[in-house]
Amino acid sequence: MEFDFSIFVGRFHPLFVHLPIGIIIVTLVLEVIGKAGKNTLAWLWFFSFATALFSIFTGWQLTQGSSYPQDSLFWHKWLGITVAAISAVLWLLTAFTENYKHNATWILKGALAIILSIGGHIGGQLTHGNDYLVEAAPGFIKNLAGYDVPKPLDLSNIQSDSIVAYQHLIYPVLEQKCVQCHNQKSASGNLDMTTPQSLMEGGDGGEVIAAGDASDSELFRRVTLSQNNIKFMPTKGVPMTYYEMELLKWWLNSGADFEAKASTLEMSTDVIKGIQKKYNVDFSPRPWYEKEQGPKLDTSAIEAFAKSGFKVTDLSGSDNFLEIGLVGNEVNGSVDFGNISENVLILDLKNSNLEDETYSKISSLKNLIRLQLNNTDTDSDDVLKIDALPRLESINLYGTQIDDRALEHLANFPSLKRVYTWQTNVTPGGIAQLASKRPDIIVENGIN
Amino acid sequence: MSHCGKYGRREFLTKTSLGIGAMALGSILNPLKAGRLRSNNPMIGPHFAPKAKRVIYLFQSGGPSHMELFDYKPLLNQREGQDIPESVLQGQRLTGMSSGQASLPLVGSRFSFNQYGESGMYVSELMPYTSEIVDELCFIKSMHTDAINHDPAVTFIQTGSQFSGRPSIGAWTSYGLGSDNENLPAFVVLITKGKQGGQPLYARLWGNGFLPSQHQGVQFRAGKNPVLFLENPSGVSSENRREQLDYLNKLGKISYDENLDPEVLSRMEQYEMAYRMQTSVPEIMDTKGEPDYIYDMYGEDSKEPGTFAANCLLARRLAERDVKFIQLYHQGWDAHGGLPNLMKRQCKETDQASAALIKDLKQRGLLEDTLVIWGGEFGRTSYSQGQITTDNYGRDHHPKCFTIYMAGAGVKKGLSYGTTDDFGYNITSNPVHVHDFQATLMHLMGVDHERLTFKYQGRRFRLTDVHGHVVKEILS
Repeated sequence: MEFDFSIFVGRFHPLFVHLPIGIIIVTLVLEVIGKAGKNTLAWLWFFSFATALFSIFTGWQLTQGSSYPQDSLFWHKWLGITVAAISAVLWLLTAFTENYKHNATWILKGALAIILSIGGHIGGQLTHGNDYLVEAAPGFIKNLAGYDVPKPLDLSNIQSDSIVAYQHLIYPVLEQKCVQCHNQKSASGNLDMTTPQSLMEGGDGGEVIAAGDASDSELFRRVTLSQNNIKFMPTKGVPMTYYEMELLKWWLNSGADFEAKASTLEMSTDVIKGIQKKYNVDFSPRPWYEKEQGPKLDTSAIEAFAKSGFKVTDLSGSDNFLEIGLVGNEVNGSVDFGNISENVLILDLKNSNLEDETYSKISSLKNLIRLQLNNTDTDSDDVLKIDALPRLESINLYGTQIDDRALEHLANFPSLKRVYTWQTNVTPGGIAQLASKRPDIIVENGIN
Repeated sequence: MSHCGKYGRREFLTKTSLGIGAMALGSILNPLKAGRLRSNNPMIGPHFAPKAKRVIYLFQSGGPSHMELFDYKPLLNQREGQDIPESVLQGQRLTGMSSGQASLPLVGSRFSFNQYGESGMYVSELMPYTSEIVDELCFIKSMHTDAINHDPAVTFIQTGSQFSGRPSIGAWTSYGLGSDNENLPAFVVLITKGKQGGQPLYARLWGNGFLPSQHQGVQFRAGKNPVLFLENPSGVSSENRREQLDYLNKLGKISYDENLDPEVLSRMEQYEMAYRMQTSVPEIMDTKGEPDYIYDMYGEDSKEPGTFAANCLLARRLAERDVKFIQLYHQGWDAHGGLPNLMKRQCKETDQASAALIKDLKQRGLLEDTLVIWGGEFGRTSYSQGQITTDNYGRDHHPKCFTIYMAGAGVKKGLSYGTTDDFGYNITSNPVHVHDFQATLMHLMGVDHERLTFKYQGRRFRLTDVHGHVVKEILS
């Protein structure tokens, strides 16, 4: 931080302010006991006045360029000045008149005690926040003060696709880290963050949110500044964690929409991780087949299909997807997936003898994610008969006759992630070529 | 039972309240499920799309020491000989074997650790082959259990209860998911030969408990008769056997029509399975056709039937034939004394073959839907049982933390989940209880562990009893 005289001196305010407080309390006590003489009391009132003046000066320096809530600051300032003024009057009365024990002075002294307490308390709130005392107080005082304990948000009862990004994921962070100072009652820098409207209005420095651009948003800039910077937020308490900043950035970048459901916004892995860590809600992407149901099962088609030597099992109890395997090693007659073609997710034809026409039939399996042709007599010409299946993620061709031409064709399968080519005629060159075209595909070529 | 007509009381109640209704409903809704009901299996099938179609569980019986293998604790070397601090011990119950010791001196691993793979995982020098494949593995270093002695601890991790009598995990999966191979049991058990000294294993560990008996694990042995009493007696040909079974089935059918006891169908099914196994089992056990480079990969032991390496190779062959749950047992990890030599021997017997199995499954595309698990029933203490010398010390049983690893279907690769303190004594983050592990295992197989139940003695039992949370953080 650059040296700035007023900030430097201003920061001594919380220290010096305790001098007049202490001296005034001692003086008042001595006045009540009545043991101290006129001269002593006069000196003490003089010191009260002088240190109060100095406190006022340092306090005034501290307000320069700061963003204390205007309302509280106003009262703190004028109560402080009143304290100095009363001290001055008492000094003059004690030093230069003989009426310093007059009953009317007790009204002044009583008022001074009260004003000192109130002004000091407001000062404490300015420094430590409004809830500094009640926060740590026993339950009945909290109740008296009408203080609600902020509860950690429990999101476990909410369906993950009903979670609203701002309300459930962003505001709890702001509430924890910002709202203590930026609320309706004490809006530091005139910024009230408790409602979407007031947050959008911004504060003294203008708007704090630039929808769609976190780096241009004052809200994000201030929490990500160097902690040595005077503008760093929050000025007290624990700074935002990495994942909290990530969440804030994510929400700002995706349009700062107060109503948007979290599931409709695109998330990076860090955001998913952050939500998982902070709220224990899992937004990790689920595969499409756990979200979709698949076309209704045609039971007669399944029975007819099973007769041609296939074992049909449903993939789960809650959707209409099927896994198909062979009962023996032979397919009886020609394969016809017919009405169930869009229900098939996994097709396992390993260790079997396949008719040439079977391969082109596989093209009709639009939802196929895994195809096992390992240890069959499949060759590259057969693979070329299979159209680029849109959802195929894994194809097992180990122990077949395929060569590099098959890999070339497989590069066109948009969702493909894994190809097994152990014990085939595939060459390292062919694999490298596929890797350059489709770095997202892993070719598993075995141990030799 | 026959005096009250066709139905036993229990069968009558089951059939009328649930059975008929469920059967009718099932056949209307889904012909696949109707078929399952017809085969006397009330199975629901997976609750959601499974990630793992089969499991190979390499059970390391006796409690392998996590501090000598995967959980690197250099502090133990620095503070060797000092008593374990009371703040670490926290009044933990000890076994009678070390609770009487005058001191509980910390002891560090005699084996060095290095980081391997892109994941930078720490592995001890005892596991040179496993360290090559760490990027395939998902370590859980924060496993913990309730039991402190072998039998209750093994029973607990295998059946979800420390008391015997509950079904094993493999039996639950067979019951819940059925078999994918008509010629082999859904649950096969392979035990390393010649390691029977020390802590025994009992068949109840792979038993069916109260589930129908066809779901129990079937042990395949090394040698002439892999499955006991499966061969025809001498002089009985396969044709004779078939004829005999056909007549037996007719009798069984008459008996079932009389009293509707499902155990009759169970028995018929098992006779038929045994008949098919007369050809399928010798075919599985005959590994002569395996090429030399496969034997090289699994290690020199793999040519000798009954070794852990040979069993790993068999496990792969069983997985290729879609056996659902393949459980290996390897005994001898119980290092109360002579730990360094014992660990060297155990690791030599298991390291290469375990790693080879994972690599072999991978190149065949099987790791995609096969889950491999390596681990024991508990960990070992960070203090020594008995005297510490340069090449000899021991470690007692320790239930509060141990390490296992998983690989394959549905689990993250190159992940280390959970941590223990610098003493390797208490868990400091992400604890995984045995029930959580079981819940996660069932989840990977597409089963909601809270919904797979069996009603017995008036209440519905499940593998995880009333506990268990799926460890979502390790799922890929």
